[in-house]
Amino acid sequence: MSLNNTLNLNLARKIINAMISFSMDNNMLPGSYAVTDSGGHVVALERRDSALPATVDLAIDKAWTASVMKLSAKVLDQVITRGEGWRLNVKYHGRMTLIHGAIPLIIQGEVVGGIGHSGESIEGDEKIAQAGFAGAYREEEFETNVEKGLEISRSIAESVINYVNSNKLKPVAITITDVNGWPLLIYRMDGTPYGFVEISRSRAWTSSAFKLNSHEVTKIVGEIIECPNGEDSNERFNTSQGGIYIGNIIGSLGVAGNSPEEDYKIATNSLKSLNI
Amino acid sequence: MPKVLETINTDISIIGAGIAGSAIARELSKYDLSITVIEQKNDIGLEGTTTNHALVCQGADSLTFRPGTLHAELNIKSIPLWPKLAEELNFKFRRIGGLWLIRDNSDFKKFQKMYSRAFKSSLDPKSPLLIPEGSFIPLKFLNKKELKNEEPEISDEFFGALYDPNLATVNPPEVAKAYAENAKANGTEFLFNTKINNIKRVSGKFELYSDKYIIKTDIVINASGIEADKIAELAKARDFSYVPFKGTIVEFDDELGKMINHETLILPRGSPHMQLISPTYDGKLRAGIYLEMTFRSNKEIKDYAIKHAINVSKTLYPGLPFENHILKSFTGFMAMTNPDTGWHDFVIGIPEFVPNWVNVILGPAGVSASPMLGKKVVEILSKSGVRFEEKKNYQPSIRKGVIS
Ligand SMILES: Cc1cc2nc3c(=O)[nH]c(=O)nc-3n(C[C@H](O)[C@H](O)[C@H](O)COP(=O)(O)OP(=O)(O)OC[C@H]3O[C@@H](n4cnc5c(N)ncnc54)[C@H](O)[C@@H]3O)c2cc1C
Repeated sequence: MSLNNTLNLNLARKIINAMISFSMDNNMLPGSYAVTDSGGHVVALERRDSALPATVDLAIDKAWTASVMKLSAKVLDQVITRGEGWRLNVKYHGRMTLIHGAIPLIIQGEVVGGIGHSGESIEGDEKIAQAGFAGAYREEEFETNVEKGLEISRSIAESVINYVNSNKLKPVAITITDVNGWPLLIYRMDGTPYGFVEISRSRAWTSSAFKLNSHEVTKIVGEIIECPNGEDSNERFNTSQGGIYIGNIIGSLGVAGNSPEEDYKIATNSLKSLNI
Repeated sequence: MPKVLETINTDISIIGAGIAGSAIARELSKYDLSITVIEQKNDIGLEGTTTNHALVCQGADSLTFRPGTLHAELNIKSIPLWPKLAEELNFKFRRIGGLWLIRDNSDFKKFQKMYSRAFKSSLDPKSPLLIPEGSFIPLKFLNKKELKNEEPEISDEFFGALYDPNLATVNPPEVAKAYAENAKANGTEFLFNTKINNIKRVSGKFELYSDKYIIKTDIVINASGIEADKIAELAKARDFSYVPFKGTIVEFDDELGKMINHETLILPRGSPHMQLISPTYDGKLRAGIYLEMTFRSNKEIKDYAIKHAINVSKTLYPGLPFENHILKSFTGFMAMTNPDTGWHDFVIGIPEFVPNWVNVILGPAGVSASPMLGKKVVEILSKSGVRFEEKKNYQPSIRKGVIS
C-alpha cells in the first residue's frame, strides 16, 4: 500500500488522532490540533475540552503558515528570518506564525497541507506536530480516548457526514462550538468549497452567543446591519439558517454547504438521529 | 485452553538484534548483569542492518552531519573505534575512500567549506567535532588528472574531486553477528523467532509478551529498528516521531566491481535522492539511493528506483555496461526524524514518564555509529541512577554461536 498525495478529511482526522494520542501518552497539556490544505484553509480542527480557547486560532494559524510558506515555523524562525520575523507580519497582521509546532505535510515530495498544534511549550508543540506528520505515514488508526465534549462533537460530526452522504447532498463544513462560542471541532467534508468553513463557524458562534438557532436571533435583536465580526477575536455574527443551539456540554452546531434551508435541515436531522 | 507461556527473568532485555541491539548487547556484557536479546527473525541483522549501503562513515561524511546532534557526535566518536573493533572481533573492514565529484564552481565552493571543517575538526581541540589524532587522514583536492588516476573509468565531465581517504565499508550483518557472538560468549542470552506483541508494567518491572514467553525484566532497550515506534507505544514510551524512508539500492557483480575503486558521488541538486556508487566489502558495487517517504509495508522495488541507480552509475562511469551486470535490487527502511526539514537526529533516550526504558532510533548512518551506541546507553542509564559493575572476566575477542 502506498500513500495517496491528496489531503482529505480522513487523512486530516488520522493526523489529529495521532497528535492527540501522542500528547496523551506523554502527559502533555491538552491543546488544539489543526490541519489545513495547500491553500491554508482548514480541513479539520479539534480542541480538547480543557484546552485554552485561544489555542484554536493559534493552531489554525500555525497550520496556515506551514501550508502557505511550505515551510516549518522552525525553519522560518531559525534559518530564514532569524529574529526579523515580525517583518512578515507587517503584511499578514500577525497570522504568520514563527512559533514551533507548525510543519508542512509532505506527501510524494509535495507540500499538500499544513499541521499546527498549540497548547504546549514550543518544544511540546513541535513534538506533537511531528507526531501528526508521522501519523500520516502509519497504516493503522490511532485509538484516542478523548474527553466528553470532543467525543460528543465527533459523534455529531459523523452523524452530519452520514446524513449528507446518504441523502446525496452537497458536502458541508461543520463547526461545533462550546457554550462560549469557541470551536471544539471543525471538519470540512471532501469537496466542500473552503468558504463554507467560516460560514459554518459563524453560524455556530451566533447560536452559542444568543442561545438560539442562528436564524432565530433576529427575532430578539432585530435586523442588525452592523455587528462585531472580528475573526481575530472569534466574534462572528451570522443569522442565516444552519446554526443550531444545543447548550448541553457543547454549545452549538453550525453546518454550511447547501442552501441555508437545506443546511438547517441537515443539522436538525443529524442531531435528531442522535437523540440530541 | 490458552497456551501456558514460559517465564524468563532477566535484568535487561534488548528488543531487536540488528546492529543496534547487537552492539548494545556487547557493551552491556562487560557488566555484571543478565541480558536477554529478543529477535523476531531467526538470525541476527536481517532487517535494516542487511538492506543498506554498507558504508562506514569515517571522515568527510560524518563531518556533514548537523553539528550538535547525537547523529554527528556518535558517528565522529566511532571513527577511531572501528579499526580496533575490526581487529578484536575479526571482521573485514575495507577502506575504500570517497570521491566527491566536482562538476562546477558551486560544487567546489561547497567542498571547500567541508574541507576546512574537516581540517578544523581534526586539529582544533576545541572543535565540537574533534576527530582524535591519528585516526583521520586529511582530505585532499584532486585535479582532473589525479582523479583519472584514482578512477580511470570516471566521466570526463568532472574536473576534480574532494578525496576522503578514510571512508570504509563492512558487511553490516557480519559485524552485527560479531558483536552478538561476543556478547553471547560473555553471557548474553538470545531468543530468536520471538516477536514481542504486548508489554505490561507490573510493580516496577516490565513484562514482555511473545506467543512463547513472558520476559520479566527491570530494564528495556528498544532497538527494534523501523518498528521502534510501535514497540514504544506498547509501553506508552514513544516520546519521538519518525517517518519511514524507503531506499532502493542496486547491486552490480564483481566483474564491474573490479573497475571502480572508491565510493564516488555527486551532490544531488533539486532532488531528494542520493547519487552514489561504491564498492562493497566483497568486491561488488552498490548504487543508488532512490529515497521516498512511504508506508513501511510498501517494500516493492519500483522500476524508476532501479533506473535511478543505473542512471547515476552511468553518469559517473559512462563507459561501463551496468545494465548487464545487475545482481539484485533491494529496498530498505530507515527511520527519519524531522522529515519536514531533513534535520535528522538519532534518538537514544529514556522517556520522561517511563523510567528504565531506553529508545534507540538510528536512521541514516546507524551502522557507522554502532561502536558508540552501547557506551551512550550505559551513560544514559547511569545518569538515571542504574548502577553498573564491571565484570572481571569480560573477554573482548572470544565468540560463541548465537543460534542454538
Ligand atoms: C537504503 C539504506 C542505506 C543505508 N546505508 C547506510 C550506510 O551506508 N551506512 C550506515 O552506517 N548506515 C546506513 N543505513 C542505515 C542503517 O542501515 C541503519 O541505521 C541500521 O541498520 C539500523 O539498525 P537497527 O539495529 O536500529 O535496525 P534493524 O537492523 O532493522 O534491527 C531491528 C531488529 O528488530 C527486530 N524487531 C522488530 N520488531 C520486533 C518485535 N516486535 N519483536 C522482536 N524483534 C523485533 C527486527 O526483526 C530487526 O532485526 C542505510 C539505511 C538504508 C535504509
